[in-house]
Amino acid sequence: MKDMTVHLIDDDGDLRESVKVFLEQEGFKTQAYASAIQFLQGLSKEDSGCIVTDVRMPGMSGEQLLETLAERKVFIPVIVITGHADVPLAVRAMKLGAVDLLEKPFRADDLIRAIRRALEFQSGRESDPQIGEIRARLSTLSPREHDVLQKLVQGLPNKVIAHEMGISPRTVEVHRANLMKKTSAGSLSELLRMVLSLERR
Amino acid sequence: MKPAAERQFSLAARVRTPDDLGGLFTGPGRLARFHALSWRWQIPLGVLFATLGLLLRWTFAGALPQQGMPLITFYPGVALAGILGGWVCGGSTVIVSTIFALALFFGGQQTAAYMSLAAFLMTSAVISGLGEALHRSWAALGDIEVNRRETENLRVANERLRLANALAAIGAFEVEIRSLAIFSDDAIADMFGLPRGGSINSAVLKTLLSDDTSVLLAEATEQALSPKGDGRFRSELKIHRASDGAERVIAVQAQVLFKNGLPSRVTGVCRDVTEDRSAEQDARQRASLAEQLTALAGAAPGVIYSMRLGSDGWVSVPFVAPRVREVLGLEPAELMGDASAFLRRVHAQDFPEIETGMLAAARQLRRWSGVFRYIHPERGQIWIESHAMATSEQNGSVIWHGYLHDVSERVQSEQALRESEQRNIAFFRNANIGAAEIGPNLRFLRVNARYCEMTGYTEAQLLTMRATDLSAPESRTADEQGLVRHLNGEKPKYDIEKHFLRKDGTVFWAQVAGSLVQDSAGLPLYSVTLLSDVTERKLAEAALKKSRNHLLAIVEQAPVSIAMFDRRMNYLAASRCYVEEFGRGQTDLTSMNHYDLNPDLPSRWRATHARSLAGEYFSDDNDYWKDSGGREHWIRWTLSPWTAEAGEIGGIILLIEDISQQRRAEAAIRDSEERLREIGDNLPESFIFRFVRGADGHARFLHASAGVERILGISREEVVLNVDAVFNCFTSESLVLMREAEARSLPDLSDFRVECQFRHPAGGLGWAVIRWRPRQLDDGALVYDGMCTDVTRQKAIEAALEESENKFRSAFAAASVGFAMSAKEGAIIDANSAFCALTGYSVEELRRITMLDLLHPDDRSGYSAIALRATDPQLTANVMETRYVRRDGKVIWVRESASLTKDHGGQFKWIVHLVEDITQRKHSEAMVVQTLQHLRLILDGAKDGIVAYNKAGIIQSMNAAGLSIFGYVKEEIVGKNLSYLTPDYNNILFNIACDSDSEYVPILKTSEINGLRKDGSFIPIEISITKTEVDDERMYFGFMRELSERRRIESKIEKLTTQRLSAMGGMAAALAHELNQPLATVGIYLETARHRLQSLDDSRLDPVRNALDRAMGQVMRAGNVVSHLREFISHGEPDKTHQSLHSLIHEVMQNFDRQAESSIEFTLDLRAEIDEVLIDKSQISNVINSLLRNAQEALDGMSGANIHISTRLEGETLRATVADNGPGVPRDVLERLFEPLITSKPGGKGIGLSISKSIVEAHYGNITARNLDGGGASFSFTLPVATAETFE
Repeated sequence: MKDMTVHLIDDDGDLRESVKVFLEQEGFKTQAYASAIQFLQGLSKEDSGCIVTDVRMPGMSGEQLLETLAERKVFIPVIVITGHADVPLAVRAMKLGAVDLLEKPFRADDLIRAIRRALEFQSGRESDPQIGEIRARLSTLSPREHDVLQKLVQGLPNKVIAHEMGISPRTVEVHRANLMKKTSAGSLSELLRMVLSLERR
Repeated sequence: MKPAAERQFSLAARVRTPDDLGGLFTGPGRLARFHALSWRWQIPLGVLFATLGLLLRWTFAGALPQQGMPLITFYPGVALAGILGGWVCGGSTVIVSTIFALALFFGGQQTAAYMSLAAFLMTSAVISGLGEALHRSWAALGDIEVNRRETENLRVANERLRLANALAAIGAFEVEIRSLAIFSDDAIADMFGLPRGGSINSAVLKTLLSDDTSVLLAEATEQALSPKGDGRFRSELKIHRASDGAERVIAVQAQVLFKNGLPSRVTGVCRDVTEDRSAEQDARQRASLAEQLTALAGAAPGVIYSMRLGSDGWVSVPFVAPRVREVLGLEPAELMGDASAFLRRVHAQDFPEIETGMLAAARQLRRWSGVFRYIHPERGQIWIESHAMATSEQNGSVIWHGYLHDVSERVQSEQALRESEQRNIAFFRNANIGAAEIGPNLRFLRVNARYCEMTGYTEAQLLTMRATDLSAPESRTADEQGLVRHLNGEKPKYDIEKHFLRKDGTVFWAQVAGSLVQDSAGLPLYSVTLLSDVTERKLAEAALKKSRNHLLAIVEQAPVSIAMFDRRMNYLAASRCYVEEFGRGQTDLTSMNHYDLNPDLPSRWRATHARSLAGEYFSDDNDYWKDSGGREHWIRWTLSPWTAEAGEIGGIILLIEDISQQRRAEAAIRDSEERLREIGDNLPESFIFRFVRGADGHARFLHASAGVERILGISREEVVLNVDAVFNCFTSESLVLMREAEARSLPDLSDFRVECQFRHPAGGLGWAVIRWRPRQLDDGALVYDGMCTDVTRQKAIEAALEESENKFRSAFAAASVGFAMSAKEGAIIDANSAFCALTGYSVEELRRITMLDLLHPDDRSGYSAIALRATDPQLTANVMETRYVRRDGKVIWVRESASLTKDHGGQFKWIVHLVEDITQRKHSEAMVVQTLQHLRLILDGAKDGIVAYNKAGIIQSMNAAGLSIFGYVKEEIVGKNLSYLTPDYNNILFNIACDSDSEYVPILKTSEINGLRKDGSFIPIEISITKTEVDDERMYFGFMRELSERRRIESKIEKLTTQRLSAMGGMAAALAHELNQPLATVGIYLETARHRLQSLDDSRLDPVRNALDRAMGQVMRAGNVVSHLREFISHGEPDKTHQSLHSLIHEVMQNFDRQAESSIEFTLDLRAEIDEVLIDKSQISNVINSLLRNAQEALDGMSGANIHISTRLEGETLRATVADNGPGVPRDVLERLFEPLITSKPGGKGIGLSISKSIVEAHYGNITARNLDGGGASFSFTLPVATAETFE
């Protein structure tokens, strides 16, 4: 597991340095890049591990990087860290293949956890132990909650969902809270990950 | 070019001319056409026929003449040509054809030419003659036809003549002298009473002639037959008609026709002239009566006249009394032949009425009377009253015998009275007879005391009743119809005798005389009805009826022929005279039938009987009956129904008198008397009389006309019998006056006149004017022809007029408002004291000026327009407000109503002005107007729109600003409903409806409504409404401010805010990125350090580890703040999950960054039973954090500081409160505490509370702040409790 390299991409040198120091202290082999282009230049087919990348970067953004990786059929799990996260961005990132999304400032433990999961995901892609569990949770949703979920996954804000479904935003909020409870998703990104992992199947 | 119609007509006329039709179908006519051919046609025809002859000749001969028998063969050809030519075309053709034939012949032949010529000429002459003869005979045939038609026409004419003769009662006859055979027509047979159709034997004729006539006839005949004479015969024969023996006079006119010097035949005509002769005789007798008539005419104050309207339309006056000079100002001679001198002077307006009235009376041969205006040559317009009786004369003309007199005095009095009534100053005569005024609805308007007394009702009761309420039930309908006709003007005079019911139910009979009072326009106002009690007379009549049986007995003994029949015309009784005269030899007629007795009664009488049995009364003064025995009766009879006790008609009474003997003699006298009687009897309110004072001093009346009964209540007979009865009617003073007047008139036998009082038969005293003219007879006796006229009514009118004038004057003078009367031009005639006081002038001064002089100079033009309008007959009153200038120069305002007063003829007479001083009112009005103007200026100057409306929402006014907001002009919107201004008007009205108190307070606080502009666009309006009472009506005022202006400013602010916020949003995003980046770096380093330290097992390092954890917590908090700031600005969505609020509060308290040195005491009082809420955990914890920090900051440095955190469940809502015991929040800040960028703390971040507010509101709660009574501030927010159910 230790042979898995963490590719860290961030245009902020201080952050990049601190994360690299931290990860190496924690025993992760870490390669740091100042930009996505730099990373891609050095990328080879044999590379594995995971990628931790910022979104807002000069030259190529995190999203563009995700797109490029998908085009090149590079299947390295990507963890997105961003200074200003919102639902649409999270959904976009997840859809482009990101496995997790962390909002700065984040707790170091959260990052470690995310990297570990990503590396596990990388090595044991074939047998995701949570899929059955996720299905069981989603099956408890009411049809209305299911509809709300579908629209949430599309990245729509509550007001738009309410409008499209012909219900009040407050009702959407209730549905949303209920489905979060039923799926035991701690956060929206966790929820998205569950749904997207099912879709990828 | 003639019009088409005319052309068609003339064409039709031509076609229908018999000659045209005959000419087409008869031989001579057609021939004549050919003969009429001109010579230009005859010559070529001759040539044609000659050529034809030659051709024929060659045909017969087969060769030329040289080859033998030339002439023989030639003749037939020429002859045929001649015949054809001569017959068809006439002589010229023959000659021409001959010459031409000869020319041909001589061209080819040498021999026997002369022979041939001779033979030819001879032949053609014969042929020509033959043709001519043929032609003539044809023409003769035509002539016979013409003759036949003429004869027929003659026969028709004769027939017509005969018919005309028969119609004109002219008979024609012819006598052949030789045989003395008389040929005559039916008319002659009728005339002589001989059977029609039979020939008249001269011998029979002679027996019919009266003796003297026979002699005359013989003489006339001899004269006519003498050859020296002209053969004319003219005579009048008196004959006894063969059929009935009546004496007739026949006029004969004849012409003797001579033959060979000897009379051969006499032809002539006869006419029955009996009536003409008797009429002439009458005329002669009449002439002898003229003198008497003239004497009488002289005595009468008026003019007696006869006027004839000839059948030719010419009006002549055969007789007129000389007094016409005085009354009409015309010479009798002027009028005699031609009435136009009189008719011309009749007022043009009255003439048509007079004319139609007289003609209508003439048609119905009834009495006529009329009052009309007449232009007297010297005296100008006077009023004439005339009465006349029309009779028709045999020649188709109509003659009126009449009487006319000057009634100007009376008419003027009447007019004056009418005017007086128009001034509405009523009089009501205190008459001794019942009087009432009845309005058009048949209600009593006024009754006098006597009327009440008669009817038994009080005045008050009568005034609530209808006139018909007094009628007996059975006659009520008829009475009502009669009264209605009377009151609607159909029958302006109403005169009837009828019975009434008193209040106590008893019946009384009364003579009712109603007279309709009309206004100047002729519209009925009311009827003055006079009631005189005739019950006693009626009772007498009833008693009389009861005595019928007595009558029956009397009948038999009566010295006249009288018979009484039952309903089947059986005799019940007959007087002895009747039995002798008409009894047909019977001695007792009782129970015999009239018709059985007299089977020969004319059917007209039978019809009369039947009608009489139905209730009619008949009489004939001059009837003729010839009974079957040939006896002739000239009779006078009356036929009247008699009533049985049960009230139905029991039969009829016939009174009959044979007057055959007297008839003729009486006729003339009667005629004359008739005329006198007619005149006398027809005089209204007058009677004429002849009074004789004999030489011995004995006085008596010879005659008095019927009026005497009406006026004095004495019958005509009694007048003649008892002179004292007449004198007793007059008061003793009057008799003295009469005697004095008589004495004065006797020396020169002059007319005299006296006005005296008499006892009216109805009670009371009446006034009469007596005029007479004395004549002295040869024996010294004095004859007075005179006339007595009842002038009571006129006197009463005069008296009433005087009274009403006085009343009017006193009312006029005493009135508190100014009264003035002016002429049309404004000249003041009279004024009352109030008017004088008003104007400051005395009456005398006023009479010297006009109404115009009183007026303020500026108002004069307006006044003349008003005065002009006052003369408009449609308007009877005009009211205006104008200014007067008083005598002292002071200007006053007056309200003047001018009403037009018209005389009887509807002519403008004067204006009555009613003037009231309204100066005071005008001043106050002016003040009001001024105030209003000021107000209006203020209102219009206001920047806000102001609308005034009433309770119903109707707009009363709107100021200029209001109008400009809505785009209306004033006239468009005033009077409209508020809905024109706003679709929200119901809300406004609702406010009105809820509003019941009357204080002047705003009833609608400033609120926003949707204004509707005229162009249909909406405009936001801020309105506040107040109300007040205006003239007892509640009025509402809406003060409106156009919000569009404010909105613009607001939207500008909003835009600016948005810009600022979006700038802030961008800034926040950049900030988030820029801050999060170092925060993250810090966090990672901290974590790195912590992780490194964890590997060192040294307890001394624990504080360091702890510090690193806390540092890490602050880093995360900083990250959250940035994140939420960003969300607040960019309206990010909360991530709501189910949470326990209490747990959250504990968690926040756990992490709350307490200031180490503070001694603040935190108390938790979490008592909400349910605490599950749907929240974004981090957002709400931020809110709690924020509130805690606020409190902590407020308590900074305070001792005994306390922060109290509590939760309560309020229904479905959780309330969390953070209270402190600090200084509280300044008042001015409190209200705006939650607005962005507001803070009470120096150097405060300011974002906290506004973000908290937006967060709480995003969670459907609210956040409030208040200062506590005991000091300190309390912040609390609410959150809805999360329930299991969804919100679908």
